[in-house]
Amino acid sequence: MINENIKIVRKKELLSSRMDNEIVMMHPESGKYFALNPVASRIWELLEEPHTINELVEKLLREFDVTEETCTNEVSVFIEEITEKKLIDIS
Amino acid sequence: MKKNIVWLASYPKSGNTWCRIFLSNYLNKTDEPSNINKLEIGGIFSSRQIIEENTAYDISELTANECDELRNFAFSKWAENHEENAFLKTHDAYLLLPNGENMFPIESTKAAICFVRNPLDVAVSFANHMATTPEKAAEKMCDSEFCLAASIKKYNQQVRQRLLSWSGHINSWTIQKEFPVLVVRYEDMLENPNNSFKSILDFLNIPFDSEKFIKAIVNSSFEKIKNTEKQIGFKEKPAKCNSFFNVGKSGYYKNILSQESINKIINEHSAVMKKYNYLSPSGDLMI
Amino acid sequence: MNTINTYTAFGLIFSSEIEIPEFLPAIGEAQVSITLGNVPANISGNLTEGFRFQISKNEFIIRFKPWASFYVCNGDKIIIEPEQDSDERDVRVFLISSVIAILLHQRGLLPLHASGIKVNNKAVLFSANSGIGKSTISLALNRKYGYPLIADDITVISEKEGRPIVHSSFPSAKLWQESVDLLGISNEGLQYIRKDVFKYRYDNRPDFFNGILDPLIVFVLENTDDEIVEINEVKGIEKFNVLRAHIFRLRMVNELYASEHFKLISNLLNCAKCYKILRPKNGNSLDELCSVVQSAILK
Repeated sequence: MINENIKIVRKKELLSSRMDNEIVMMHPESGKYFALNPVASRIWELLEEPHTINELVEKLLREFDVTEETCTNEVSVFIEEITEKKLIDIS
Repeated sequence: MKKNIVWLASYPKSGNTWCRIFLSNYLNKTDEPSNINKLEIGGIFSSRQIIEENTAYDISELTANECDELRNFAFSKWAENHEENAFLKTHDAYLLLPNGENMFPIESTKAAICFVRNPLDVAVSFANHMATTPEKAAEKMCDSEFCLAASIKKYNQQVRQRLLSWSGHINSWTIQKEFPVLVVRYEDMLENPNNSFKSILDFLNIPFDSEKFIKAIVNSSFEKIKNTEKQIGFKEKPAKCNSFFNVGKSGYYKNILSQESINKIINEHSAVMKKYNYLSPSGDLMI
Repeated sequence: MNTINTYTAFGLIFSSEIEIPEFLPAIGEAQVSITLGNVPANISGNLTEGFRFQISKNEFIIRFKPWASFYVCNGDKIIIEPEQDSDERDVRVFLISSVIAILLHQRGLLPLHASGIKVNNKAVLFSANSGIGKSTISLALNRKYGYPLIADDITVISEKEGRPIVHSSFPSAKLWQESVDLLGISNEGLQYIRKDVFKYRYDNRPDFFNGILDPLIVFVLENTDDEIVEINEVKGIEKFNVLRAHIFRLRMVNELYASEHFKLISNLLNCAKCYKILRPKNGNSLDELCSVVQSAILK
């Protein structure tokens, strides 16, 4: 589990591309393609620079019409997922 | 290497697809009847797609003989990705490649089931299948050079299959010694489907579950699948043929097949017809 | 010493010890050499083995018995070792499809399984599996609306400063008798692509455009059991996946060039629209298909 004070950043070598409002990525091992939903896409863009979970939530709240609770929840789930897929580094 | 392929081998129109529908119903995990257009029951040995996917070659650049050379490799690789009892339907005769190597992946083979049907009924049903006359169908059944999907005019989803004559086909499967073969007569499947299908399960050591078995028998009854075809069509049906599941009865060649064609088939195939009780030892028709 | 021929195809210049009449003659310094010689028994290093072929990131060997073996390396060299009595058409069929495709992969290009036409200085591509009618639709549109042809089977995509570029291939199509009939082409004088493979080689030099173009649309054709032609725009991830599925000989190269492919597909799709067309499996839907494509082009 990612501690809220830890800064995370996306792996530099990963290939991703914006396409019709979603980010499409290539899985580094399988070479298969997958897409991120709009919120996840935005998180991914933000993660070009290191962020803590709280910093991410703060920025997203300014851009999307969601409650803080929902937002924190979504961010945590997504971060967990991409940690599992080994798509991020801890900065 | 897994030894998991089970060949469902037959001359066309001899109960092969019927058995696949039964097996699909018996082996699938849901209670719903299997969709005949999405049979989850292995593959077809002439499938261009399986050959191309497993070898990376484009078959349109190859001759039919070169294509046959790919099939052994393609289907042993295919079998690696399948479980126990990987069923493969085939109308090919059991033949070697011209260079003497195996066309069939025998290293991956568990067993074969060979379906046999009265050749006189086959002629009539095959004629419907190919949108031709029973006389022409009877001729093809006596032709040891006969092939399916041999057209050179267009792209074909199936690769060419060499069938031999009707008896040549059955002999090729039953005489080979590489793997065990169970012969199932179409007429026995009609008369007592429970017995026939049970014998197939036993032969393959597939555990018997009476509740599932009864459901599968009901869901694969001839009338039921014929109705389904009427409603939603059947993708394995040739374009020119009206319906794949036609009459299905035993002895319906009478009044349809000319005496000349009957005589031709009997002359050509009497040995195998006697062996499977379509002719008495003295040469009288049994059906 | 063999005569050296110089040709152009896929935006590259080839020097070749064998004649390739399907390609356009060219002048200039060759980037790729095709020579006759000995094909090594094995390639070295980290390789994958397939049916009669071996592949690594920079090397490829394939043995099309009993015609010829081919060795491709570093994206700039092809060695052909023909067997005795081999027919030159047999050798060429494999050379100008699978073998050259691997060379294109080695050069970091994106060879798509697609035919193509030129529409107002832009490229319109038709991607499909074999047998769906790639060649036929391009030729039919050429005949109907006069669009020049740019490719029959393989279309190469490269990039310059992040912009995608479509390269024409060579002026020759492979057609089944059925397509020859549909297009109303006389098969008099047409040769089969190989001695025993009954598909015709059709030269379309007068209608061919040789050069580079910006992409406009990629149509992906698929068969359907329905009876009408259906067209839908493809968006997002689906766009990526349909195109990836039509990379030429992807099953031979697998993930070896995954990053190159991803970058080129993103570039291409950022500039080109993508439509999926379902066409009836049975019957003749060529005219209907042409109209559907033409209205999408004019939109």
